[in-house]
Amino acid sequence: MSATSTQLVVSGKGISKAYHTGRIETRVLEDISLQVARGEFVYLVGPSGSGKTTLLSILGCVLSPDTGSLELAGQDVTRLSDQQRTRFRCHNIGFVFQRFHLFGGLTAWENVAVAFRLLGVSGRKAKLESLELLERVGLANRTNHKISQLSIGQRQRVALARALAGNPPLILADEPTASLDAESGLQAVQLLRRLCHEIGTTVVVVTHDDRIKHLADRVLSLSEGRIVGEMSRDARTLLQEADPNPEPGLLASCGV
Amino acid sequence: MTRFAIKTLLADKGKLLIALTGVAFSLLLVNVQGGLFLGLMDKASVLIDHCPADIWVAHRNTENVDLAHDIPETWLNRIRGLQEVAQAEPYVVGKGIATLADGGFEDVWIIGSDPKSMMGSGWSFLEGTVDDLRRPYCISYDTVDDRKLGAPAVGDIIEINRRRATVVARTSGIQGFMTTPYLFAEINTAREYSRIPAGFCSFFLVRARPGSDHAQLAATIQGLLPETDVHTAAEFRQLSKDYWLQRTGIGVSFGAATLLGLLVGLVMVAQSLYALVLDHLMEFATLKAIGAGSGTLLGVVLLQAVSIAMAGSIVGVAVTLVIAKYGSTPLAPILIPQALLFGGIGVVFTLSVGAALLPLRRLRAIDTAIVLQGGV
Ligand SMILES: Nc1ncnc2c1ncn2[C@@H]1O[C@H](COP(=O)(O)OP(=O)(O)O)[C@@H](O)[C@H]1O
Ligand SMILES: [Mg+2]
Repeated sequence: MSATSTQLVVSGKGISKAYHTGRIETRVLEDISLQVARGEFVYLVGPSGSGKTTLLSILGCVLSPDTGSLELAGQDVTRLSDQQRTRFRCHNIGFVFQRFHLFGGLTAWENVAVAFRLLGVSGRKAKLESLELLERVGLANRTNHKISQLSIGQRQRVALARALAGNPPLILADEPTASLDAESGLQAVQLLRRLCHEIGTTVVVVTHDDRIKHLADRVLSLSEGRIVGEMSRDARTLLQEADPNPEPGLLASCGV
Repeated sequence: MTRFAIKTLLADKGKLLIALTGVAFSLLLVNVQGGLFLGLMDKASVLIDHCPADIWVAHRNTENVDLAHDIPETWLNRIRGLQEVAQAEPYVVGKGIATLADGGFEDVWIIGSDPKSMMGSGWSFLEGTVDDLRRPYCISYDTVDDRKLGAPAVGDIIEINRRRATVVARTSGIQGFMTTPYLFAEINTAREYSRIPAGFCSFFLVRARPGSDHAQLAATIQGLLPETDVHTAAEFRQLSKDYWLQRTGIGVSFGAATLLGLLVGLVMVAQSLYALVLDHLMEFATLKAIGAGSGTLLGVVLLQAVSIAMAGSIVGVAVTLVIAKYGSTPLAPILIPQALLFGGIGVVFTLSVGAALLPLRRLRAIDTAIVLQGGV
């Protein structure tokens, strides 16, 4: 449960990234180094525009860093071609997008099955595995519903099931609670944490939702493209112990 | 990914309908235009097609079955003795002017056959028979020409070049390329009506003995009758068609109209498929983000295109067959041989799938980052 484990799923050094719009250069990330161990549940927080999504895109092999190096699940992905990155994503990364980006024409199980099909799983097996995953996220009785017939919270869980398809070593979630109310936001992240904890999946979650902060093993704070703070569970636990009136739920979830 | 492709396609009924209409419309246009063209071209050789003659002997430089020049009947004697010739007869395709009951005039062709065999005479009889036409001063007329000739009944008298002709038979659907009415009669009557001198005719119709080589026999006859042009039936058919093709340029105008229709249909297909891809750009980007390679994306688009091409072709063929059946008239026959139908499907299918490839560039340049940035 500690970030100092030798089994690193994410290992980035000196990563920087700039966007170019015409002649205008927007420097977004500056010399970022980070390491995330297998099974860790990490938050990326920071003000809007601080570069969280950009960093997540680089960690998800959607964007390449301008400088620095990045190793994911033991593989150097710094200089992969577009095609190689697509293949790498397919097998190693599960995404829970901020706007879910589910396929509107398909049912819940078909959405999950797409991910299995991309992994080369046969149609019949893809369906079985999809149904099983939907059961695990608590949607056993919604498998044949179209996305439009599901509540936001249920869509979120379909997206989660799709991200889990094929057990990728790394799951990335961008503001997964942004469109949910407090209760279902908390439930969604708890579910994500529990499912990933069970199989040792590493998770990086971008959020600025204070209501779920206590669920993280470690919190990385980003500001103006730099990591300006880092706080681990142990440190926070200490803080909480110093707090005379700790929230009961917060303590319970920290295993205190 | 088949499900994704098909369901995404079905999700937007409006665009699907436009694409299907485009394919069906293109196919319909190719077939109906092509069918009308073939139907029209078929008329150029209708007399040859329905005549059992294997070889046609015409005056030198005759280019067309409807535009003959006189040749002396006595030349027949030179070829009747040939071993391979089973039958050789004079045939008249002559021009006359009919005086109508209302005092008007109308150009007509009088087709005269040897009364013994009546080779090359009328067919598709509604009333009367070929036998009725063996009698002198008797003619058949076709209901296609009702409007032109005032719809005479059997038993009525028509005046042709100041001579009386009794209508003894009615046929249905016989019309030449020039649409001048064909009146069938026995040869002496035809000669008289069309002022062809006795002892002359328009063609010699030759039937070869079974098993003989028609081209060879035609060459032999050509040697014996150097003042004539000798053709096998197939050659003369083609010659007559080519004449109208070259003289009128209808091939070009039909071709241009067909091409234009094809283009309109394909623009519809291309446009709706393109819009379909653009509408689903975010879904395609998502697919790529979660690991779909360009081959998979190409497969999805191709599958969608092929599905539309197939469904559209089925609709197009169905509508084509209905139109060919109920829209075909003797005046404007629509002939759709299988070659045209399948050729049309092939062309439209290929072009539709080709049109579907247009948005591929857009797809290849897709930026997966938009999926995470959350922009539309
Ligand atoms: N495609 C892009 N082109 C240009 N600038 C961009 C692009 N994407 C993001 N940016 C800019 O980069 C900065 C960081 O964006 P982002 O990573 O989305 O931040 P966050 O997710 O923390 O809000 C912002 O100033 C944003 O305007
Ligand atoms: Mg963001």
